[in-house]
Amino acid sequence: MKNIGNMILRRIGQSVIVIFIVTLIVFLLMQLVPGDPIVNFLGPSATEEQIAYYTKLFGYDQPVLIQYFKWIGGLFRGEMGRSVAMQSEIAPILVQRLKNTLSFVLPGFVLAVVVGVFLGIVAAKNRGSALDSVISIIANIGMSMPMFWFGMILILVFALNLHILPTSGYISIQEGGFAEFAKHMILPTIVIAMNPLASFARQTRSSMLEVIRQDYVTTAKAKGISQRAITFKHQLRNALIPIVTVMGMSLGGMIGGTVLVESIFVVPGLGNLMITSIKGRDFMVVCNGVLVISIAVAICNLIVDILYGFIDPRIRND
Amino acid sequence: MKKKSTIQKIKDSRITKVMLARKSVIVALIILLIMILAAVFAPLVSPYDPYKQDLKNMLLGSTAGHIFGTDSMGRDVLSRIIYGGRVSFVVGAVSVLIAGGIGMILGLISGMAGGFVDAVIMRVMDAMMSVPMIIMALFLGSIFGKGLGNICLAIGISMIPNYARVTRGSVLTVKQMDYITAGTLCGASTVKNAIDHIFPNCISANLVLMTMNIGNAILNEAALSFLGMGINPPTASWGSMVNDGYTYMSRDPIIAIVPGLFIMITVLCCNIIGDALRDAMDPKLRGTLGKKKKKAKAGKSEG
Amino acid sequence: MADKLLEIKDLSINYNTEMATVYAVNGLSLSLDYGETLGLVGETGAGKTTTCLSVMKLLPEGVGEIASGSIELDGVDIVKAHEDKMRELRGHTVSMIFQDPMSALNPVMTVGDQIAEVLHEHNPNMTREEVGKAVDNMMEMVGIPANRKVEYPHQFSGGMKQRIVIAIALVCRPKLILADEPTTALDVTIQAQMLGLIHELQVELNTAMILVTHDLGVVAQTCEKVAVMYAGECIEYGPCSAIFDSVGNLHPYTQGLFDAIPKLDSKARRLETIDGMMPDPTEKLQGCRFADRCKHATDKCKTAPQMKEVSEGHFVKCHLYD
Repeated sequence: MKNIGNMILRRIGQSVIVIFIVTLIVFLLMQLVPGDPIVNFLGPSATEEQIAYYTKLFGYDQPVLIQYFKWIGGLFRGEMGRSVAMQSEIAPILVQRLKNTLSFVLPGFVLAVVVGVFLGIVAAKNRGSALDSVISIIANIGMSMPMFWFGMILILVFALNLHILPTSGYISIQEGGFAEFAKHMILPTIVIAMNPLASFARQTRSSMLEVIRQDYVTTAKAKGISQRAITFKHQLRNALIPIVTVMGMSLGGMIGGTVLVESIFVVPGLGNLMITSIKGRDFMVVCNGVLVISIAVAICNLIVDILYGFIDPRIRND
Repeated sequence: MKKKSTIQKIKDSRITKVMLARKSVIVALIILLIMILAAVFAPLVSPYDPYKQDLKNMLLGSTAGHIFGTDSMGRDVLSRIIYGGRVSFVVGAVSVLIAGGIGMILGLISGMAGGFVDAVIMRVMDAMMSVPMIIMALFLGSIFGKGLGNICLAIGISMIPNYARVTRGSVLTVKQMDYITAGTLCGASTVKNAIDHIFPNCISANLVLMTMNIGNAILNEAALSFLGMGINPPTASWGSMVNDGYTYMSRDPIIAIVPGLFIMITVLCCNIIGDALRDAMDPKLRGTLGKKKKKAKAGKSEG
Repeated sequence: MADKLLEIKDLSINYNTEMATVYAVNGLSLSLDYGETLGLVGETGAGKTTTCLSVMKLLPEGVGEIASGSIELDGVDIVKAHEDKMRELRGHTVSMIFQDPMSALNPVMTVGDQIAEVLHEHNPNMTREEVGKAVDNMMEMVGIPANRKVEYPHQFSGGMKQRIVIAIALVCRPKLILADEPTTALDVTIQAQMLGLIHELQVELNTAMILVTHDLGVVAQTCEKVAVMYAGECIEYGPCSAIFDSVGNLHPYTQGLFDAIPKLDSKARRLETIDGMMPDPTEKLQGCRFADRCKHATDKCKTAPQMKEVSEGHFVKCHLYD
């Protein structure tokens, strides 16, 4: 167990370095983006003085590196700077947006894991059957579907034709109660889950089949234990190692997918914020947004590493 | 003469045989071929001018003259889909080549040089990987601006880390092999070793990855165009067509559904081929088809 | 109780692959008494492993199929037995020691759990403490300190892993062990140790055993009876003593196996070998399967030979003894 602790510490150290590089790259690249947030915000009628005033106010007249270190310094005090477009502190906005995003990304991830792994097991157990083919086709389509298009089709069917779900929007639990909140989150959850669900199903199927050929499964059968125990105790636990890898990788993709899902379903989340900020050249919001996203990805990777340790004793003891 | 022999070689190779043994691969190849040909010869194939607006005939729905209907400006959807294929296929191919090219070079440098250079390159790759691909592409797109070339560049760069990692991994594996040591002992320089032995060894892994990424690149282009950060408006792109049609979905759903369907089919075909290639190249799965053939052959020679 | 522990009659097993049907076992008959040890000898691909798997009804699902014949184990008809009945037998009445201990153990379960699992399955009434005690006991019997039961397979050496595989196989005190080349994957120095251990435990627990091997020396040391398999058939069967004593009076294939053993007193500079290869298992042959490689082959060999008793309990399937 001491080894796990060391491994986690080492991983956190690496992540901090990587996140630091992310902030540096993003900040420097942001300077290359054509367009000026102040000009964008003030509009075409702004006078030279106004622009100069605001540029000075936001500190955009200072050298790039000074701006960068001011930002990083602010982060340690819990400040992210101010958004030009929204004329407010960025940190509370990001927190709110992140909460909105997670309210469908997390259920989506759980949905993808449960259904994806289940379908993968079913397909592997019934290898070569019609059921296997159907699952495999669904998984292939799930991986090839443009997310925004899938969302659109769902809106068309469930909102415009059947009228059982709202087309779009976000209502928090405080505003409209859980039922309203859930109603609005069902479709985004399904859409964000589709792609990872498909890849979990495929990965589960192939690693279950990989494992079933292993000698220790034959050993388990020769012990006379039940099929269920073989599937879960012997097969699935060994098959989980590559599945967990895929799960960790797909979380990044899901966070990216929020950009599309939130723009279709008009959810005021992180992805939506990223688009409007990139389009509006709102530098500091983009930088902080990328920072939050890369921290989220790093946390996911860390969780995956810890899970490895729990699943595979060979990693735990090395 | 020489060309024919290479074609023959490809035809006879085990990988081709294993791939073509799957019916789905053949179907996918045929569909893709038809779509690519249609895109290449778009001016000859498409029934209408994809840019010609006809406001009297907008949002017609499926009719005999326009099987996929007309869009909000009265342009023929089928013609726009045929032209839109050009964008998808170009982005798919070019961005993957950009990613593969730059990624392989970075991976080679990283793996061969080791030490500080390796650490810097790999940390930067880690940093790029910790930003989701589509956000990366959006971000790069906002720097490069809209337009086909810029989109290819943005999507290509966002995919580099995969290739750099794969290449570096295989460089490190190959580097330890005895024949590289033997080459070094015979006085071969690092660069010569890299060109003669290590580079060819990395190519196959990267080729598989490139084939598998084409579908992703197409999806990303469609997503960028859907978000209005991709191809410039009058040019037809499947992603932007879905976006256009989305507005009129309750009135005329077909103009949004059909382009999406085309994206899906194209990506599906690319993925099927990519998967088959990966399986064919995977030594672990070699037994599934290769062995049986060998057995049959051995049986024949004995009997 | 049946008088024979295992009675295999005229067993044929096919593997149906997409490309061809492989006739792995063809009309095999064997029998085994309680507590007896049988050496099953033959080269790779002769159908030894397939035979063992069929006794446990663990042929690869959807591929391996018992085409004809019967297997009776401790009075149970294996061919007809339902899967639930088979699960009762596996690990309890019959168990198997696998060839490669490196891959036969589940890498993500402690070895103690892997041994305990068999006990839990077959003795639902045993308490946790009783199972724990039995596991400790079994581990000591195979020569591993019981306190290592919380460790995982990768923490053990190859020989130690095989000891654990043996512990798993024996923990329920089965009536029959199928040992499928239990020593081939191990170092030569450990091989003898391991065979000694298996033999010792077998005597102690009064268990019958089928020892699959291609090493006649091993058979001479451990077995009471020998069956020689060739291309899915049993071509020679008899008490160990009879076969080892009647060298020169054997099936030509068995003779070839003996000749291929290097002898200290021999002046020959090269080892005798058996020319040629086993016939293609995807083809059904009519006559004697060994005829192609046999020095004594005649036209007669185009018809299938029958089993003949050449001396008491010693059977040979060859036209030479007609």
